[in-house]
Amino acid sequence: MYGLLDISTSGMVAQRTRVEVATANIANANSILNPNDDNEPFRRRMAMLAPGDPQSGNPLGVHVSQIVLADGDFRQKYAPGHPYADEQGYIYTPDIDITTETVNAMEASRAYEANVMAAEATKAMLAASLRILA
Amino acid sequence: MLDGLLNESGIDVLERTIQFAGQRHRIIVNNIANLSTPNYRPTDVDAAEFRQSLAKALKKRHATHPGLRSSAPIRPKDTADITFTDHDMELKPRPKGEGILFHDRNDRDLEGLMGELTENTLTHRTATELLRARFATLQMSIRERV
Repeated sequence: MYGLLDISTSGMVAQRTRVEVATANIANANSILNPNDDNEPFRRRMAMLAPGDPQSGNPLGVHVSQIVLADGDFRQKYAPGHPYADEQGYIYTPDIDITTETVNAMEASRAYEANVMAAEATKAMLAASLRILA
Repeated sequence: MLDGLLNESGIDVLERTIQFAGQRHRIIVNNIANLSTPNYRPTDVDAAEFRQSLAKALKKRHATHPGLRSSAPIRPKDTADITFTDHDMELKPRPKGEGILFHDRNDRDLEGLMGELTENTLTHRTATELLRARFATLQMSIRERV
């Protein structure tokens, strides 16, 4: 029975990371500069989940294997007079769809809740097993 | 003698049930943790087969050791997913393939999983409570006092 809570915990960590990634995408939906103030629009992040835990070698559980940056074109926005506009008067903004990110965050938080329920069930079972002794 | 005392009131049946519920819980919890993992297929073992195998073994013991003096420990037959040893069992979960295949190639079924989780937890709880009651009876007879 021991080590059972680790599985649910790994699920919670992975789903929390997904929510974090989605909220970071939403927060940066209009970021057209990189941290060094250069004109490089924010690229959408995606959390890639994979089964198992490579650190402990446990085949059960889940982990975030990598956070991938989306490649692809940025959105063109006509804004003449903008300090970062090109010769044609366009600026480039991140290709982030707020609706998609919100739905992803909602889905991840539901999956997080499912893991919490599983952890609660594990706790109840462990407590019941311990009560046999008492 | 102790074996007879312990097996008589079905303690070994409860022990098997608790073992099964405990090991199956690990499988269900793992499925829940991998709810949104691409290419992951939820796995499970057949709980109905376990119950049938246990019921058959119990019937067989009643037939070979009639009456209350059924001291032989129960030994259910292996099923497709479960290998029984003398005091333990090994579960070999297989992909169920029952749900709708999503675009991330995961055929999760959240409601089904939560249902199984609840059912399994209740099975475990029932068995542990019954086992507790059996031990309480044993303790009472050892103390010779109510």
